[in-house]
Amino acid sequence: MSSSMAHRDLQRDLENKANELGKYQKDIAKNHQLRKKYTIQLGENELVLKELDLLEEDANVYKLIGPVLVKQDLAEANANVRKRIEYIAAELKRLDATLQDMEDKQNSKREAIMKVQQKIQAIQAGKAKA
Amino acid sequence: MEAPAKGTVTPIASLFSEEEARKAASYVEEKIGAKRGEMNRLQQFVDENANLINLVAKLPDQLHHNVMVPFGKMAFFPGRLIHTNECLVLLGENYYSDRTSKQTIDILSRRDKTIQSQIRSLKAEIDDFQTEASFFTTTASEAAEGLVEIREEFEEEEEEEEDSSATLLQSGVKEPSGLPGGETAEDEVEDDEFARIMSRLNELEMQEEQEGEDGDGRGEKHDSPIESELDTVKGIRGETNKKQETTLSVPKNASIGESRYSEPRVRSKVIEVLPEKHPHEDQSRGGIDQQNAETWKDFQATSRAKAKTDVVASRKIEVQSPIQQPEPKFDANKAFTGSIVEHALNLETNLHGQKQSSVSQPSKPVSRFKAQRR
Repeated sequence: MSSSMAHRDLQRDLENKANELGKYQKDIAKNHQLRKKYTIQLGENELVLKELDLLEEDANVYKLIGPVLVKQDLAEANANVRKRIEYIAAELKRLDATLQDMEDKQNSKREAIMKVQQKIQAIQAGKAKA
Repeated sequence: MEAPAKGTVTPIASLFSEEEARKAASYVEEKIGAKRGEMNRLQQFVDENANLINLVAKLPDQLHHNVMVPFGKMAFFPGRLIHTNECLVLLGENYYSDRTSKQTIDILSRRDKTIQSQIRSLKAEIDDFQTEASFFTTTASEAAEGLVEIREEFEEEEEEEEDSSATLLQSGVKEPSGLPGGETAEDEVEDDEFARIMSRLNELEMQEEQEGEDGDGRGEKHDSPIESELDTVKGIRGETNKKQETTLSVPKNASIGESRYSEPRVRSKVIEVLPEKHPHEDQSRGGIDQQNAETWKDFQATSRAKAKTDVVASRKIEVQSPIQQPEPKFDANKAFTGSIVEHALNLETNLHGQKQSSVSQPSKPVSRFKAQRR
C-alpha cells in the first residue's frame, strides 16, 4: 500500500518536473528569438553607423519619428546610433547569460526527471516481482 | 585460415539503424530547404538592389521626368519628377539622409556587398548540410544493404598473410550477405584434400628451413617415404585439433635439399589448413582438384628447385589440379578443425605466391602452372 502511495507521489513529482522543464524550454526558445531580433538590429545599426561615418559634415540627416521626418544634427545622430549599438550589445550579453543560466537549469531538471523515472521503474519492477 | 580471433565483423546496420539514418537525413534536408529559402530571399534583395541602382543611375540624366503619380490605391495623376539628382535615402533604423544620385549609388552598392557576403556564408552552410545529408543517406543505404565493417589487428609477423587475406576479404564484402563463404560442399571436400597436400608440402619446406637454420647437412632424402611424413602430419593434427592459433610444428625427418636455400631468407609464416576429415588418405594421390594459389606457388618453387629428383611428385600434382580455388581461407569449418602448419619460405617464392594469390583468376590454374613450368 505504501509503495503504491510512494509511486503516486513520484508520478506527481515527475509531472511537475516535466511541466517545469517545458516552461524552461519555452523560455529558452523565446530567448533565442529575442536574441535573433537583437542580432539583426545590431547589424542594421552597424550599417547605419558606417553610412553616417561616410557622410560629409553638412549632410542633412533626418529621423523618422511616427509620421514625421525630424531633422537631426549629424553628430547627434551618430552619437545616438553608437549608444543604440552599445545598448544592443549589452542586451545581447545579458541574453547570453540568461540563456546559459536557463540551459543549466534545464539540464538539472532533466537529470532530476531521469532520476524520478528510474525510481518509478524500480518500484514497478519491485511490484512485478512481488 | 581466417582466424576469427584476428578481426571483428560488425554489420553497419547494428551501429546505425537504417531508419535513424534516414530520419537524420530528412532532418538535414529540411534544414537545407530552410537555408535555401533564406538564400532565395537574399537573392531577391540583390536583384531589387540592382534594379534600384539602375534606376537611380538613370534619374539624373534628365532635368525632369514625366511620371504617373500614385494617388491613393486606385488613382494615378500625371506628374513630373523634378530634382532628379536628390534622393532621400533610408539608412536603416529610421534614419534618413539627403543624398545625390551618385552618393546613393555608392550606398546601394555597399549594401549589395553586404548581402553578397551573407549569401556566400549561406552557401557554405548549405554545402556543409549537403555533405552531411549525403553521408546520412549513404549510411542508410549501406545499413540497408547489410554491409559489414571488418576490423583486423595488424600483425607484423604475418603481414604478407594478412595482405592476401585482406584482398580476399574485400571481394567477400561485396556479397550482399557480407559474409565470406558460399563454397559448395563438393568444393569443400576437394579443398580438404588439396589443403592436406599443401600442408604436407609446406611442412616439408618448413623442415628444410629448420634444418637449414640448424646448419644441419642431412642427406638429400627428397622423396622420403610418404608414410613417415603422413605420420608427422597426423601428429600435428592431433596437437592442434580444434585450435585456431598458429602452431609451429618442428618435425625431425625428411630434409629436402636445404642446400638450395643459400641466399638470405625472409621469413614469413604461411598458415595452412589441415582438415580433419580424411586423415589417413594417401596424400599424394587422387582428387586434388583445388589449390591454394599461394601455397601452390610455394610448391612450384620448391619443385622447380628440386626438379631433378622430385619430378614425379610435382607432375602428379600438376595433372591433378584442374581447378584452382583460391579461397579456401573462407571455409569456416576448416578454420576451426584444421591444424595449422607454419613454415618459412625464401623471398622470391613468397613474392610469387603473394602476387598470385591476390591477382590470380580462380578459373585457369593449370595453364598458368604449365606456363610457369615450361
